Amino acid sequence: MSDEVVLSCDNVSRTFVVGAGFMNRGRAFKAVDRVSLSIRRGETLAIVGESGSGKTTLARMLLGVLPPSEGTIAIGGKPIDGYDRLSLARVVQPIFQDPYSSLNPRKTVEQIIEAPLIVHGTAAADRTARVRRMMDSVGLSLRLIHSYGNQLSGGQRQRVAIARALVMQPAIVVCDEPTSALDVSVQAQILNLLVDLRQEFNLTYVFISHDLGVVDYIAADIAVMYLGQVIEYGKAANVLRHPQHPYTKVLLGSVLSPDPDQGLPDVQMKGGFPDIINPPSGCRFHPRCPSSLPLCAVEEPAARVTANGMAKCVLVASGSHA
Amino acid sequence: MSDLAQPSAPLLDVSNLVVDIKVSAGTLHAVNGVSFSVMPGETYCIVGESGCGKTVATLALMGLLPRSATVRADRIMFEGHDLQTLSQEQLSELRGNRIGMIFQDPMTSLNPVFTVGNQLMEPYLRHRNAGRREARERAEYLLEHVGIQAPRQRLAQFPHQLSGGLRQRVMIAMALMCEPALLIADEPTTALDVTVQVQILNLLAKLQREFKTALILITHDLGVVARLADRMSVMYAGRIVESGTAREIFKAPHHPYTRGLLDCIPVPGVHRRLGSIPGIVPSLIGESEGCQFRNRCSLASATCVHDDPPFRHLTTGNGYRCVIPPDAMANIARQVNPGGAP
Repeated sequence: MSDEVVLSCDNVSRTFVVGAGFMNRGRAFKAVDRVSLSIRRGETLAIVGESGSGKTTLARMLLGVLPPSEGTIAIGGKPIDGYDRLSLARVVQPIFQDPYSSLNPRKTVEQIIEAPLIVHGTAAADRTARVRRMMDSVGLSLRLIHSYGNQLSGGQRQRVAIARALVMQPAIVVCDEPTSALDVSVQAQILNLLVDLRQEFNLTYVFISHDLGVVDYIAADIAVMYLGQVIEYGKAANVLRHPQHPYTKVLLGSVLSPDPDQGLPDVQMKGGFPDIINPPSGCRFHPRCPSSLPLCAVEEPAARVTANGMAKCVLVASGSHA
Repeated sequence: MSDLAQPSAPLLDVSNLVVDIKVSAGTLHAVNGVSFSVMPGETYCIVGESGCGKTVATLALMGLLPRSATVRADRIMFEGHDLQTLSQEQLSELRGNRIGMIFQDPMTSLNPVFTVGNQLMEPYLRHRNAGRREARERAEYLLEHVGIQAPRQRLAQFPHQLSGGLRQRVMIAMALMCEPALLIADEPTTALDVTVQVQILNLLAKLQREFKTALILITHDLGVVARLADRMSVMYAGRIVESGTAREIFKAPHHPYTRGLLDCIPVPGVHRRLGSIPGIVPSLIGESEGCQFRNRCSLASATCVHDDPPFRHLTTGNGYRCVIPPDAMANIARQVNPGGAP
């Protein structure tokens, strides 16, 4: 690990227009709203939040497949729009949620892992060696090299997806819910593999997940998103032990650890998930917040420095464990 | 949790359930000799990973499997009737009436072309011989009970106008329309966000207390089981490998698979390398002998290859299926886990 920042976002927003048509300009909404983050080499930043929080939109921008509407993303100190597609692919690679739909069923394991090498013009002899080395690193038996995706189990498929992502030796891997389609016993195998590979290849992960147990296991830093905004950001160990923002507290309180001595938690959160197209005024969490003040409906809270890092809430006292 | 001390007869008593499914490669032994019983008002959880047979077993009870499946059992007694002897008409009289079902995916299990109200009222009109007005009142009452605001307006809406959490609440209300004695919920919260999951589970627990409904909850999530179950079964490859009171199983799991599963769960604030169960679930197509878990088991020996492991009963009333007897298993557990806790 070093202090070198490999990936940073500065006030990144992404606006989508919905309902547009003939004679109708539609309505714009911000799926990601002024997000600033940075990740150092070899570290893992987890982005957590529920559906509609904008975490996948953010991931797509980090992968360079979706340009930000505002703000800048820099990779290795260089703005992301300064990279062409191939050079960006050498630095950032994705691992997706569903290994059943993210692998081409008409290609063998070898063809899938080899594809990025062909695109980047690696010599044939070199390719075979690198595919085999990669299969070994991700724990895939070489017997499977000519198998097709549908002959593999979910865990094996996710290993193929990981091998494909790592074969170009990228610095950064963006993992979008990489284990949520897997059974728990397989999830544990894949998480341990990701931890080992991070060490072996000095990888930097952006790890998107809704599972705080998984996040605490793999990530050093954590950014909690709600309706497009990062509402708390800091060291995972601190944020998960002393959450500052009321939403982080609710999220953490909803985790069901396998402890038969505890009943179901009572989640103090009002209402349903708000309409993302018409987000609430002031603090976006205020209609559901168990401790909201009249002020919260009017004024958007500024990012405050806390003992953990940052939290966007007027109730958070700067620099203390509330 | 419900009162376990009541000495009444079980509401549902299943003995030696076998489900075979014809597939192109042969016969898939999806469920292989499963026995369990559910008391009135209790929460019974069936936990296991994909393909272990937990869903097929419950669909078999309800007579909802396709023709390619053959279902056999020594008995499937529900409220004093053997479900195997009932005709399709008699079974469909039970479904939605005495037995309610909630499925995993509220997106696909509601019909997109009918309003919420129509779908809610349908089982009531069908089973209760009631008028539309009465059915509508009941539907409104239940929507309000499952925490839906402005129920009257919701009745006129279509499923696509509701969020995932709301749809699942509608499913629960629909399952409760006829006050069933038994509610079967198959992964009811798996497709939902964590905060919504907790709300829905709290709702299920509250309604269950209120309507004194027994609940069979099928899930892969041991966190849900620990917080909700009175009794439980752990299924692996078509068999129950451990069963009994949930508290005992979480405090002192006996079967190596149960112990492995508990080691696999990452818990916030608990830092340790995750245990993992090596290998994958065996194919259930064709004949097999011995213990199905042996290829992934760190305790497997030569006996596991041929011997069908016996189901061993513990003094606590729990039991597990393994060749290793309880005292030897307790010793192994102590060596692996000197602290005693999983």
